[in-house]
Amino acid sequence: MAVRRLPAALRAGTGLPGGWRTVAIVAIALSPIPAFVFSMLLGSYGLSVGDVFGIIWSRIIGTEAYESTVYAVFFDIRLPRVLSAMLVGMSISVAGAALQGVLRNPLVDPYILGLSSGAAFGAALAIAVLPWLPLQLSAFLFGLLAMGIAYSMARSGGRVPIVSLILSGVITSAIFTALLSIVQISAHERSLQTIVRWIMGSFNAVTWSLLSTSWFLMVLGTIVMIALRWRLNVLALGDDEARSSGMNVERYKVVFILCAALVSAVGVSIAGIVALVGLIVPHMARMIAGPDHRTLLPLSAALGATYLVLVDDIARAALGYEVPLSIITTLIGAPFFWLLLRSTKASGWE
Amino acid sequence: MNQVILEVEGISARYGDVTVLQDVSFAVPRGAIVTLLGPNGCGKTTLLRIIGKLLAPSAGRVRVAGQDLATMNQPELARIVASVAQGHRTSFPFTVMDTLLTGRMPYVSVFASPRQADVLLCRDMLDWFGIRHLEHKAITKLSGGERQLVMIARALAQEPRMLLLDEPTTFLDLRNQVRVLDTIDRLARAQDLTVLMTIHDPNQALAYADRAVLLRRLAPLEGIDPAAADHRLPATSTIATGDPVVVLDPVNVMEAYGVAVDVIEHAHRRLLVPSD
Repeated sequence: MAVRRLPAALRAGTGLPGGWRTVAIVAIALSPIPAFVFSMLLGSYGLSVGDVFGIIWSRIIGTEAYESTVYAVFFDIRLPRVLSAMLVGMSISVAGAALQGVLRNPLVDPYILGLSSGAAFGAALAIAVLPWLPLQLSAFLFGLLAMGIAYSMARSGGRVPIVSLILSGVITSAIFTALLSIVQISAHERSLQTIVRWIMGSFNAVTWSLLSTSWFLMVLGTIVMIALRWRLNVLALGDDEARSSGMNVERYKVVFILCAALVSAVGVSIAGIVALVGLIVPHMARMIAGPDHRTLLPLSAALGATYLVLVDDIARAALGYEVPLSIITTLIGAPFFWLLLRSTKASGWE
Repeated sequence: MNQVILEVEGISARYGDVTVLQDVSFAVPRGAIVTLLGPNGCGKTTLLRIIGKLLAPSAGRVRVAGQDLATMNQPELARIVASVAQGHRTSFPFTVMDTLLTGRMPYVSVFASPRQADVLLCRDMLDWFGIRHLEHKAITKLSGGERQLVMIARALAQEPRMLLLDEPTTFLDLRNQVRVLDTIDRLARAQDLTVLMTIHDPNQALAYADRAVLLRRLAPLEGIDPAAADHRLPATSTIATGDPVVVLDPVNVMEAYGVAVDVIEHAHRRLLVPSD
């Protein structure tokens, strides 16, 4: 088989065997497009595939081929929601893949450094205690604060050992969870329910104004991580090995952790805590394509976008009411992941 | 400057209160194979890490290609010196080629990935080691000897002028030990590569090295109270440096390892065997 001219992503490597690997990678890379179209036609206001293209086309050329309610539902309600789901899914998955590489640990997801507990506390604060505080901003800032605390706790002598970082994250999470509990037991019933729902994750509060302040950071952080992705291969061999081959290890760790933190914090501030996505999507991508981060990160981006938008479709359209995202990602994602783990010989991590 | 690629001057090192190295000095000429020997705990690995700028000494200076190590940054050093640590363990099943490509780090610009030229260079490296057939195999599925060769090849992908190897033959069976050492020997001769490696077996030093540095262990022997008034640290960790035959004579070997050895000459080769 002539492999010399193929780009790195399609060359034979570890992961699924040969031909299957190529097919799977191409399929996943293209999947966001049909996922987008499918999501846009789904909803209480049903549309067909033709309608979806028709609506977009008519808006581009400036005609009013459909009723105004159709345009309102399509562009003002559905589109920001679908785009948010894809952006958040993409960025959290890339962040998870990057962190697993930096920390050389398969159990890591973007929430590990205290992000989810910090953000949950920030949200609870804004909901129950300080109503003048904007919810998204509070979640975002407290999420980053928690990660910053975990990072500085772990840093000693100019270096940040990985085990220290993970332990500091555990400690910080515990602290903020305790603070969250304090807010929860002293809150009104209604505030409490709002807090709990927020923590379980949902895209139903997404508007264009919310998206417009958030998309840039998510896209920027994701682009930076993808641009630097080969460096993760070097880091993955070990700190000393990476240093010996000339890499400024601490600087790259900071850059990756910062980007992962930023995009995840933005994602959490929009949608609440979406459990397991940042952990499972990179693993699935790694099982398919192998550990080479040059393929892994872009693949995780595509897979994450498709995965989360389909999950959100289930959340808003499967039952008569909004199902929180974490319930779906856990109930469907975890068993699916377990099945995948059992069926593939190459686990992507040994 | 052209003749001497490494100068170690008065290097001392400490871990907390414990002094591990004391006043070590030697020079490594270009293109030579130099072995560092000594008992466990004599600071061989520490010394190698200091030279690779992974650890700071408590005293002394290292000069690489004439330049003080303290004034060099990691990327600059990586173009001159490449290291291979002891026994490499990895969690990721990278292919051999992907592993080798990470050695190209000093030559890949910030937002880029390795290019075809880098891949071709790594392929040449694999050919040279006779392991080209392993190119797409996961390194987690290789034998210890094959993996060691891959890690050495990876260090060479950095195109260094000097290679630092920490016990390259530990954990290897006899066949692989010979294979690795012969390859190192071939490299040094063919590519004017300087090699500094730590070795356990004095006979390997006698067989392959141009120069030897023999270190003693500073920590007190068992049963001696380190705080006792009459215990003093030796003035230097170094027992002897120079021609391996001269350095590894029975007197020095006794001082370093506490073992009496006999010298055997056989077929133009010199061997040390423990005395009865």
